[in-house]
Amino acid sequence: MRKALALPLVSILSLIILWELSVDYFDVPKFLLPAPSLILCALIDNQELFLQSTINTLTITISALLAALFSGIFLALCFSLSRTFEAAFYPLAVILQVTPIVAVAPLVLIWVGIDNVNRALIIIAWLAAFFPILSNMSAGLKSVDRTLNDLFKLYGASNWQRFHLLLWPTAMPYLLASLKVSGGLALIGTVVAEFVAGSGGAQGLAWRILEAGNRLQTEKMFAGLLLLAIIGMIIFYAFSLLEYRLLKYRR
Amino acid sequence: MTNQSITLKDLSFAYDDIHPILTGLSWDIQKGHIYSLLGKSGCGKSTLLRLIAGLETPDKGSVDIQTNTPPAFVFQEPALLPWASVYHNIKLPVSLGAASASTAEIESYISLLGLDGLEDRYPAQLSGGQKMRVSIARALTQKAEILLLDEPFAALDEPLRFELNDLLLSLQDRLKMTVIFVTHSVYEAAYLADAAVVLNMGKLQSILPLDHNRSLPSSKQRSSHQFADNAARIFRALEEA
Repeated sequence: MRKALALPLVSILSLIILWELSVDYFDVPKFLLPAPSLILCALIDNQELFLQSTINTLTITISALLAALFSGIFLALCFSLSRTFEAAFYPLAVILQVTPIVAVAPLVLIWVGIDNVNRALIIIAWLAAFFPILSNMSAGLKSVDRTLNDLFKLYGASNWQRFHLLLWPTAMPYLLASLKVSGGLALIGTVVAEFVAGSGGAQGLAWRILEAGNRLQTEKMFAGLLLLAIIGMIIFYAFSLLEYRLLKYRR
Repeated sequence: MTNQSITLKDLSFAYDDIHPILTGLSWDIQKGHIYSLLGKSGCGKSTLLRLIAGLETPDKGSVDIQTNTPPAFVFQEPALLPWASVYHNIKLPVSLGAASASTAEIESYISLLGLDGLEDRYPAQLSGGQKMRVSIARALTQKAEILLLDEPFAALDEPLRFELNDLLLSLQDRLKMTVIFVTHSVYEAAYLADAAVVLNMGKLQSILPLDHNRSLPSSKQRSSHQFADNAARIFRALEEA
């Protein structure tokens, strides 16, 4: 475990040091590639602004992910209960998934974002995040062991007992795997939505990056990028930890 | 008081319209005996067990269970909940309301099956033999008078099979259950069963009563003339099938 933590830390630190020294040695203009120390300064100088933007982006991402989680589970349960319902609605879910989110985002902003941009941002990020949860949860609910099914039938289990003692735990590994993917997708969806929304009220990190880019403040762009990467990492590792804890029985 | 525990009358069953599995099978199953079901692949051994357990419904005929408790079933795979501990797997029939056994009783089954100290382990942390023991302990928790086993030891190596065969014999001796087990192994049937039942073309072809001298140690029983004779009779019946 220590090795697993130490190795990436050493490689990242080495890269940062190499970056700092190279920029100085080759005299690279700061609007092209600012030194890591400059990025850190930009982060500290604008900490309140970045903190507020981080909170905004994180709020949108988590809201979209929660919406994706509940809607994905709910739809997957409906699919498992009715083949007709699945046949009717699964293609629609696929259409939502395969249509590029950047192309859909302006429409969503017009429909629901004029008076409340955050609502549009959440919907766009939800669109990006919900499909992996739906498809994995559906697969999980269908993967129940036939013999265990027979066993529950033999013991005269009720539908509720069958659901919470057999179906739900069977689907859990599928759901947890999808959360690691959807967590990242919710963040990507939020960033895309903020970019498309532009100055129309969005206050998140993507908007800060866009704003800094327009002013050629590359160090601020990197600072925003760094925070986005940290959020993405935290989401991924939080779900990995949850998976590690909840699926202990597999080891 | 009848000495029968199950009566099968004119039982017919098919999974589709083309291939009948059982065709008018009748059988009076005596209390407290061990029966082994043998026959070619696809002759309906497992289906017959599933019909007795109530996992399938006969197309024709009837399954009459004359015991106070429904039969317990041990599948070919241990069929354990991977996310539940050994203890909770064994307790499953109680958790689902299919049986009532106290904690002390569950613990006694754990001891009986030699699973002491493994209660908190998950199935992934057990060996194949231990998993099968958990599966049998779970079936015992039902306190059923009839125990159905569908090739329970098929996936295990020979020494472990022998060990579990002896365990099954000692359990039957203690609990006096009616045991019906499907097997492909003539030697397993020759060693375990009071009667070998050969199925052919969806019907009972023959019921062969088998003799044993249970006072001998298992290794002696397996090398006795009685055992060889039991096996030879089963082989002959299977050849005729």
